[in-house]
Amino acid sequence: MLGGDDPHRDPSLRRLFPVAYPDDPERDDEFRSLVGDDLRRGRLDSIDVVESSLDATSVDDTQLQAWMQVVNDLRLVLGTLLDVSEDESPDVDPDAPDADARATYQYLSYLLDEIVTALARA
Amino acid sequence: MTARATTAPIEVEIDEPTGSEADEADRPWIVLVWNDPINLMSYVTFVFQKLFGYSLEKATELMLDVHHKGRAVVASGSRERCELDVFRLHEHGLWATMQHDR
Repeated sequence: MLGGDDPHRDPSLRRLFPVAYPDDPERDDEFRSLVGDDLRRGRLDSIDVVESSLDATSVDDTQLQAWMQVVNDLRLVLGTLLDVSEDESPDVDPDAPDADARATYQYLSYLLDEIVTALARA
Repeated sequence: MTARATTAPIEVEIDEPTGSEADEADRPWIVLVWNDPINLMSYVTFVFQKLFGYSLEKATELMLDVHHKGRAVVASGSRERCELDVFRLHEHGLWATMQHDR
């Protein structure tokens, strides 16, 4: 997904690469060309950190920041695909066709909250 | 949830614009963060503290402004400084935009 698709064409990427200058498409393109690669590379680096620490029993703050970015990015993509609402109930209807995805989204939300608590305590 | 720690902002040297951008540099820019249904309130508050060095109270106040009013101004300054702030907010998955201060 981070490979190189044009974020303007792919709605699920729009949240990961939002518009910076809503009133000025030319400036926004300029901004995108300036920071797009850094944004993408930073995310890929964080994914590397998460993959390498998947089985860890503890992680340091630097690793935890990477986990925070990956978990939230997953929430952004998943939440956009599921079109979640602000008052999304944590109770997932098990008979809904997208129950697995919604349950995953809820779990990631819980996980992010735990990560934020841990980092804020540091 | 009690989060009491704040982190210091990362200071970056930004070159001031010259020439044709000089008059534009006189008009301050503002950075807005917009409400969205996905980002957690605890997360947004944490990001404001982390990126701007705001106290928990100030960060919470800004987060609630975003939540209740739909958007809030989180920073202001030169165009270059604001672009850096927007980039860092986008890195954290927040929906941030910038515009001239009206």
